[in-house]
This record gives sequence, C-alpha cells and structure tokens, in this order.
Amino acid sequence: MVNCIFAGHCFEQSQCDSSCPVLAQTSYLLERNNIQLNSPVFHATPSELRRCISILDNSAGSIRTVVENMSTNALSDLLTYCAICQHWRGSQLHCTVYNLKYAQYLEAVQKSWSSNGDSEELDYVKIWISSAKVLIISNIDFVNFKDFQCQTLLSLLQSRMNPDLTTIVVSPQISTLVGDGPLFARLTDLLSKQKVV
Amino acid sequence: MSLMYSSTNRIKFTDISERYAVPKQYKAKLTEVHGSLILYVVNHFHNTRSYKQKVVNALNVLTYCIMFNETPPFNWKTDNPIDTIPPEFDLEAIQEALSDYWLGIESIEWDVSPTSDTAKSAPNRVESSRVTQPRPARASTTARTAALVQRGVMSFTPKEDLYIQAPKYPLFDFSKPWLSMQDLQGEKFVIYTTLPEIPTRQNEISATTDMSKMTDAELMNLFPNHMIQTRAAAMYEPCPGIEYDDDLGCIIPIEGFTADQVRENIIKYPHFYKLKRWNEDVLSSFYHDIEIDGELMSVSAVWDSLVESKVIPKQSDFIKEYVVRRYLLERDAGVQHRYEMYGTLDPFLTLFMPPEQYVARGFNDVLSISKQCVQSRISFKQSRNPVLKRLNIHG
Repeated sequence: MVNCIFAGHCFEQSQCDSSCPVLAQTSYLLERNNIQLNSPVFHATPSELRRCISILDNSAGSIRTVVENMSTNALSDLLTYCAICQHWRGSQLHCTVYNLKYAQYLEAVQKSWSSNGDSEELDYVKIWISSAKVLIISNIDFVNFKDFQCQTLLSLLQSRMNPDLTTIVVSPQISTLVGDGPLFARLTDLLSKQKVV
Repeated sequence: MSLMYSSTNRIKFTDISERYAVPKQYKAKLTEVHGSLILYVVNHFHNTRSYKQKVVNALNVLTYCIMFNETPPFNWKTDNPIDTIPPEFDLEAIQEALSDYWLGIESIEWDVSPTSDTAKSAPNRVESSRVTQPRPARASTTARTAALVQRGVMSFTPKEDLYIQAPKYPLFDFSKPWLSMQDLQGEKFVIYTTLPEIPTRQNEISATTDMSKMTDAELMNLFPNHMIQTRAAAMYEPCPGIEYDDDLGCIIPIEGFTADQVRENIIKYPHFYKLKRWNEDVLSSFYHDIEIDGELMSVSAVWDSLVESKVIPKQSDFIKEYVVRRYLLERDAGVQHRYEMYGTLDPFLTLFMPPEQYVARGFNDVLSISKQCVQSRISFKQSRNPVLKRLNIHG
C-alpha cells in the first residue's frame, strides 16, 4: 500500500510512481522512528506543533532537556515528527533524525555482553546516535540510573557536543527520575541546567 | 563593504518586512520576525534617536540570528520585541557578519508617527529637523494594526501561509481515507483527509478539502492581514520604460492588452509556481516555450522578435512573467490555445492582500473571492495530483 504524508497536497509529478524522493525519504525516516500512519502525531493540535517547533528552534546545535509532565512518549514522537519534517529533504536515506528509546537501548547493550559482540541492529543504533542531525532521547523515565546507566548517557551526551548536532532529552520532572550515586547527581544536574522552557 | 541601504538609498521602515533584500532562503522567516517588530514599533514609536537606535539594534540582531542559524534570544517576545533583546549582543561582530545587510538609523526612512502617548510624554527629545519628517504609516499597515490589536493578534501573516506547496508539517486523519483504490496492477493507494479539515491558512487547502463545510467567517479568515509580495523579486524593482505600481510591482506591457487589464490579471494571478504543459507527449516547463498563432516556439528563439522585448529586460523572471501573463490574458479573453497548460490555474489561487485592499481596487465581493481561492486551490491540486493521475481519476 502506498501511503504518503504529502498525498493530499502533492502535485510534484505527472503520475505517482510510488518511489519519488519525497516518499522515499519521508517513509524511511518515519519507519526508522516507528511512526506509523495511525500515530497521533498526524493530528497534533496547532499549539502542540508550535511547542515542538519552538523546542527544536531553541535547541538547534545544542543539548537540551525538555521536561514533560504528561506523556513523554507522545512528546518525543511529536518532536521526532517535527524534526523529520524539517530535515527529510535531501537526507538521501540517511537517518538524519533518530528517536533513541534509552531504556531499550540499554537493554540491547546489556544483551550484547552475553553474545559475541554487538548485533547488526545495535551497530546501526550506535551509528545513528553519533550521526543523526537531531537526536531525541526518550524513555529515560523507565530507567533505574546506576553508574552504568548514568555513565552511558553522560558519555553519549558528551559525544553529541557539536554545534552541527541537536540533542533533546525528553524527561519527566527531573526530581522523579530514579537513581543514585555521584554520577546520578551529575546527570540530573546536567539535565536541569540544559532545560528548555 | 557597500551597504545595501544607506542615507542616500533608504528603505521605508514599514517596507522592511517586505522589501528588505535578503537572500531568498531567509526571506520568509525574516518577513515574519521583522513584521512583528514593525507592528510593535508602529504602536509604540518615539521620535528620538535613542529609541530608533534600539529599534535598529533589534532589527540587526534578529536578522543576524535568522541568517546565521543562531537561536533568537531566549526571552525575545513578539509582544515586546525591542526590550526583550538582551544587551549582551556584540553589535560590532554582528555588523561585521551582516556586512551589506546591516541597517543603520540613517539607512531607514522612518515613515511612522509617534503614538499620541509617546508624543506627549517626550516633547523635549524630538530629533532635530535634519532628520526626515516622519510620515504616517501606510494606510494598509495602520488599518490592519488596529484590527489586529482589536482581535488580539500580534503578528503579520507569514508568507508561508500563502504557499501552494504542502504545509511543512502535514497533518491528516488516518480514520478518514478520502480515497482508497487499487491501480490496474493491484497496487493500493490511499489519500487521507488532510487536517485541519477547515483550513485556517491558504496552504492548508488540499485536494481533499471540502469547501461546503466552511462558514463565511472561515473563508474570510484566509485573507492575509497585510500586503504580501508574491511575484518574483525582480518584479518589485522599478524598471525603465515599464509602468510600476507601488503594491503590484512592474506592469509589463503585453501587446493587445491595456495596462489596466494586465494589472487586473496580476491581482487575479499574483503567483506562478511550477507550471507545465504537454509538448509532444512530454511534460515540459511552461516558461520554456510560447504559443504564437497556434505554433509552439522556443522563447529564447523568438524573444528578440517580440515587440515587447524592446522594453522588457531579457531576464528569466521577466520572460517567465511575460509568457504566463500573455497566455492567461489570452485565455481569459477567450483564445483557445493548442498547447494548454497542464492542470488548472483559476483566478484568486493566492489571496495576497487584505480584503479591504481588494475592495479598494474594485473587487467588491470579497467573500466570493475567498470562495474562488478555495475552489482554485482544490482544483489546482486535484488536477495535478499524481495519485489521482495514476488511478486515472481527473479532478
């Protein structure tokens, strides 16, 4: 089935060949980020959209934390969608926008310890973490932050300190994050300092 | 460094949003932020050098932020765009970065009057007479400003709202397929109803829009709240030998039609975008060829033989304008072309000025104009939609 997010507006070609660059690039990024066409992001309200666009604008080229009281998943999906809309053009099937589900990522890393090296999937995730123009980090509310979990996130954030890259951590109230130890204090301190309103 | 605007080549303050010549890629965003600032200044203007300096600094900082991908000041607010610019910006560095695009107080013609409150409160700080006497803001801006303030809306309509292209963040209702069909090879295509179902901006109108659901107020809401330049930038520079309209730009001569007819045609068709036509089974750019007496000829081959070419500059924007404008004038006068445009192009596809300005130009029934805009856009998109074409459905 050919599903294109621009179908109702499109007039780019004389006939849809189901493989134009617009369809290929947007579908690739949506699929990579698990955004199905029945996702709520496609009927976001104007104020939700405005908020996400403003967060993205205020975070360009830096590392920011967005605190969300309601659903961190819904916000990270919408941020991801808005970032895809901003960066799909000319992406040439590179994963320019990636929503990293941090809890799942940690699970995959820990699983790789008991196998012979990283799986291909984990290899790709690591590539996207380092190269995505916009990286959204979500699902940190499901993590118990011990030293390893803190260190992994801190070093990931450090590796993203590049003015060409944007990194947004979607977090519940920082005081509600679960964890302990000196690195946890450093992590929560960093997340609080980078907060975008 | 040669400044684009200087004391000998000034730009009107109220024109900065529209006419400030910056690279195309920044134009839309700059129009929006400068628009907010102009709107604010019109309502809070002090005719003092220090106030003007603050305004100019804010303009330059915002231009710099947009052009150099910097985040606008975090606390910057459109409802107080001057005082929310933090003082720590290094204006010298910004001047160096902006180079020709830097604006100084002297490079602006301050066509704004002090508001009654500010005029009373600062009688001793009025500038000396060497500064140009401020003129009232353009009627279109002040009238609109009053309406905006009344309605609590604080920014100008951004140019993007008028685009024919899809909105940057397309939205649709997955539960409402507008069309779901298989082609002859069994491949299934779906077009979902776009959202918002009731368009609030012209660029939200799609092939799936149902105009019958729109109220008169919703239709009227599609007009922009200020005049927006929609033609190619070159059309808004006066050109020797070509009639010039302050709002519409160059009224190029077209043999067989009066300047008034051309002017009316510009109002009905203020914007051309990716027009094409069939030429021997190949879809080609509309601007490449011109049909003369039923024959399709390459524009570059016949340009010099056209009477109008003596006056119209041989530049791509002017040539495009001539080719399409002539075609539309002929078509609307009843000429049947052999090589027709691909898809429809009906009048008022783009509403580019507030309703009162249409009325001022003799188009009194503004409601029917807004209806025509919706119909034209639906038709434009349906008649070119690649999915409908693939499924052999003609909009």
